[in-house]
Amino acid sequence: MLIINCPLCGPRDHAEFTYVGDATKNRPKNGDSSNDNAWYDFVYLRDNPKGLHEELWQHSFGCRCFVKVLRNTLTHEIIATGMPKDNLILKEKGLELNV
Amino acid sequence: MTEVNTSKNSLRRQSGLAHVINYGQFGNVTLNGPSLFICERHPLTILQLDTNKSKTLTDISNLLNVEFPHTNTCNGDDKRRILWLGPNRWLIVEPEHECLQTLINNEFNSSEVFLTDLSHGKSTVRLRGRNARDVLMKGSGVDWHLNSFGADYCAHTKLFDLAATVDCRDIDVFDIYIARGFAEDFWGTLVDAAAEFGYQVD
Repeated sequence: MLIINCPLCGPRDHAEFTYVGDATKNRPKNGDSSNDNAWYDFVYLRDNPKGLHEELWQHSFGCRCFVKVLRNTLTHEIIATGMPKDNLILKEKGLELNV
Repeated sequence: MTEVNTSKNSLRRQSGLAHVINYGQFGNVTLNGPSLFICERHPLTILQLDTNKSKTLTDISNLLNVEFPHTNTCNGDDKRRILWLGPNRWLIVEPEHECLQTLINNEFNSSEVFLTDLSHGKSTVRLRGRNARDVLMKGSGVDWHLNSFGADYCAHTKLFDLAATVDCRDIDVFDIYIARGFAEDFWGTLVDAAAEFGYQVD
């Protein structure tokens, strides 16, 4: 069982959450066709990283908020969680520097 | 003075569990008696309230005489209770005696307060006794220890694979709100989980 620490509800079983997708993708600013490549990348292209990965999950059986999760795809370890606006990788690097 | 529309109360609420509840003592009841007591709370008025206006919240709080709780907690007394469900979302529960929805709607602008009547859509089960937390542990990964989940805490979680809201009324007293359509299934699972401790259905 994976435990995801919801920023609002606290530690919960991952079965309460729904995987939403890659949190590293940024929505293109323009919706016009001149930006097709950016939209193609946003909608279809995904990396398959081995190691740290930022993901969006929704606490669908709880507060229904979106939660950003920093997960190690190799070990399934959940390293950090936060609100969608948080940059968890930067936070983690800050922690490492502080050690 | 607000006029309460009592005509809406003329529809009598039907229990979603009446046909599955068997009263008595079951399971591994010892000479000391059952360590769990289970009953249905019915009929209740259950309203979901959504608003992001803090001034409106304060006014509703004054009207209901209950403060709106913060994250993962609930406020209230034996009669009226408010549970936190999520950001800007609460559940108001009370034994049915007036049309609470009309009472609030008469006072507040409908574009600021969104009320959804869930009274017909929810079933409520009260679980109490010294092994109540052990039963909850079987159904959900929430930390049910007294230090983490004491009186006046609530959790909206997945309990026995069903979406449930659990309100800790007292140290070993829990009100569990479940979707009415799944109430029968939930009841069956709950009494199965309670059987090893011995339980009494009131």
